[in-house]
Amino acid sequence: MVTKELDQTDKQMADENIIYKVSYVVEGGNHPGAIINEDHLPKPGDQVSFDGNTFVVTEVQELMPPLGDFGFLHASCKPI
Amino acid sequence: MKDLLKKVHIFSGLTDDEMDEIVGICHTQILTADEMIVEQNSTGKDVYIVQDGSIEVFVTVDDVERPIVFLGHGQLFGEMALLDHGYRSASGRAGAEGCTIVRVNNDEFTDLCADHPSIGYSVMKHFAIDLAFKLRHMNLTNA
Repeated sequence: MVTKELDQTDKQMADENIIYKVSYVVEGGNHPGAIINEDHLPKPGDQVSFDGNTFVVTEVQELMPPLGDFGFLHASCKPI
Repeated sequence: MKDLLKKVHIFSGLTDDEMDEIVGICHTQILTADEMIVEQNSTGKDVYIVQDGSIEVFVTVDDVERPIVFLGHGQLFGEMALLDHGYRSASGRAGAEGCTIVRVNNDEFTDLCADHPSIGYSVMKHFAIDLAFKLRHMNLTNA
């Protein structure tokens, strides 16, 4: 699976009008993860909740090139 | 409703007037925790958009449930049946916190697309992108 590291340019493109479609993959492979639209660019250390649990983001990468007002990201996370 | 739909990827690029047409075929449902939305192998003509909360998507094999993914705000569920009219490939139920979903009926959507081909082209293109995104998520989850 090809993902792209978010570089400084990408981070500078972070815009309040962009909606980020985020694929959250839980480290360890025992959880199916989640897909959620976010109104902010997630970053390592952020917390996200789904499945009644809270996870901490460990890595964020671009999964697909942005299209219109949407960015497509992959975020690794682990349970807190 | 329009504010929600503007944040749903498949409706990206639609004009305000086109968005009003979509709003006209949307039906909101509020579900309690664990309430079933669709059953695997059933037939159905609706596609669902998560407005609040989440949907747990899972398959059942030999009476054992296996979770596939949790779909949160702005995500689609059930779009494969809308595309191919086949049986539901997975079940879906409201997450632990319950959820609010928007239901779009396939027949109403098809009629709308017949009347407004530009809406049909745009939404179908974004359907394909959405499915690609889900496939990439699955690939990463199973890597």
